[in-house]
Amino acid sequence: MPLTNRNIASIVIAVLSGFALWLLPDHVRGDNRLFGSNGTLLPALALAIILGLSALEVLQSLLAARRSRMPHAEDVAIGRAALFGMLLVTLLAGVFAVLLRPVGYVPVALLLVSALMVGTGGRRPLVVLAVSAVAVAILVVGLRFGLGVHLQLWPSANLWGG
Amino acid sequence: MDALLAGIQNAFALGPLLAIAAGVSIGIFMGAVPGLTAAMAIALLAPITFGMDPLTAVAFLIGIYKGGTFGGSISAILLNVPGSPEATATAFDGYPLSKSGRAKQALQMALFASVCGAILADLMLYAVAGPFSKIALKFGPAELTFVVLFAFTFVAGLTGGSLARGLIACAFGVLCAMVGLDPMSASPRMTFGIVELLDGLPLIPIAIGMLGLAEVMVAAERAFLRRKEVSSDTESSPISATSGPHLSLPEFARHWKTVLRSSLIGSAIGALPGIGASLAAFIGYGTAQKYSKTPEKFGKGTLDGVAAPEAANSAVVGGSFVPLLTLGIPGNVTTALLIGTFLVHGIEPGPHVFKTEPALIYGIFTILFVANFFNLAIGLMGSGLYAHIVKAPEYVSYSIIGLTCMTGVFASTNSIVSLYIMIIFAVIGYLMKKFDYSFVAFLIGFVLAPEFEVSFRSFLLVAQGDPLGLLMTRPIALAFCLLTIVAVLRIVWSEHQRRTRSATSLKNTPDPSSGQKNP
Repeated sequence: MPLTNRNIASIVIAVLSGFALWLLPDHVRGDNRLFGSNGTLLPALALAIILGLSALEVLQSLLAARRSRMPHAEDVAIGRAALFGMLLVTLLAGVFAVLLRPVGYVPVALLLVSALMVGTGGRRPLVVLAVSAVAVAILVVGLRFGLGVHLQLWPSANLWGG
Repeated sequence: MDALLAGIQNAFALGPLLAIAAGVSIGIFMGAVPGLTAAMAIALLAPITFGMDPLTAVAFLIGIYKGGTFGGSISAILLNVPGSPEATATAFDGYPLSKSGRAKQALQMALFASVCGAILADLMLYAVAGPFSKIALKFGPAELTFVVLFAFTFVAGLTGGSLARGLIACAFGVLCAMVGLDPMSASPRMTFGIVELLDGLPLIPIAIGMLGLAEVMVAAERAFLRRKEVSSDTESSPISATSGPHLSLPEFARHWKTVLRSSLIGSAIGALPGIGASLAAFIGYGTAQKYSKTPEKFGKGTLDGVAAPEAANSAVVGGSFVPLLTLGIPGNVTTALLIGTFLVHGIEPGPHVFKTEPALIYGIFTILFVANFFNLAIGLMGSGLYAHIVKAPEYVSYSIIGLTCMTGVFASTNSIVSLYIMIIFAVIGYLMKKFDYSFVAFLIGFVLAPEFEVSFRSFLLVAQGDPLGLLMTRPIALAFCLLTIVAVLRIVWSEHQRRTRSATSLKNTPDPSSGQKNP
């Protein structure tokens, strides 16, 4: 019987929560008897609920699929578009986080906002550049003069070997 | 009496009034742009309130909440695209009214009904919150445990695709809240040696990631799918917000019964955790149609069809402050975020705050009330402007939101770890949305878990191995325990019925493999 994306997700969640439950005592300092009245109690209960209900969801879904002629009717589609959306934002946000300190706010913010614009459908380079520059300028001015937050705006001297 | 006067005086200072005006303007804007919500605005802008005094910060956030609730109706009426989920029912009659040249009337009806509904709900909050907090003061660990458990179950059952998925999301929220120091022994828990995690996972990066950055992912996904489609030049242009006649006061007054009925429905639903403004709007709309002398006009462009959902969804705001302020229990995403911000400002919502800081509570009540008039004024003056803003291309609004998410989190925490936490939770939030795991249940689990843990473990300590025996001696706790069981059974039963109905309808559809029709 072929598994649906929803079933695969439930199985992954069940396996991860089972693994986390097994590891939990190692990550609680002091009294760490599993399900004892200590710091493990609520995390262990939460993990047990996630494990139990995910397993139940898979079983229920598989039983229902045996009776149904269209087991994939209510499945979740994870296609190229979904992967594109997730990867685009994750990668750009990751690059922003990594480069923020060495490169400074203005260059990474301009890179982030213009790349996001192109990724979400912006096609006119002039509009993309103008809107990016205005958005970054407003945020910098707002943060510095409105809220008194001083970000490092440009690359640090160390970056150029200074 | 002194506290009431002090609260009113504090609320009428320049700072809170300016904050309300700014909050309402931003809230209407965020509500009006399809895909952006008041909750997202609160998550994004909460960090900038950290430098304000508590009442000004609360005024700003309440302004956003109130403005956002009305703002959703602008694009629902003018574009037939609800700006926020709670404005979906408003589009049923709002858009037909716009198409028939009565856009201005529809917008004004939405605004007036929204403000009236909110005022009535706020008056009820004044009347109910004080006495209710006195009852809540008698709550011990047993009562708090079962009240929170009831909230968890109710929210999990009503906000997700199924009770099981709702409970999984809620349990995951509880699990995430357990990172950091154990509140009873102060020993580290699930910190993986990362010093920043000793304080626990921060709410704001998580909320911004799941609400803001995850939405940018959805927008990028939509943009990818649009590449294959024909250009959207053929889409109809939105209708002008200033077209058609004004709504006269006598004409509005003719709909007072609908507004009053929907306000009562909205207030009651707001006070219950998990149900939310969307359902209140639909129930308000359905009830108005049921009691209407001309039910056949609903869906074709009647002012009652705009007044009912708008009064109901706006009344939810006041109603949702009852459990928030008296028990410290948020009923939806927005109030869960408000609780997080309250805590940052040293305000711990719950029955004790009525005793310890009565002036602040009356200040909040006054701000809730005053914000309605700002909503009315800014809504009347700015609806034409907002109608132009909702036409901004999606790629502009979402890319700026992406930048604001990153900047806001870094500026408020000055920590790169917070940025990584936000990115991780954005991916989790996106997948939760895809697979229909309730974000509301997650957030309420996350916000209430620390209080729940202390109450639950104290309850077990007091029970000394006999929790059932202790429960029998606490009638309020027992009542909430029974309510939880009844809620679970009711939700499971209705899910079973829904599944049976959908299986029956699938059986009646043609078999795709055989290509033959069912008899």
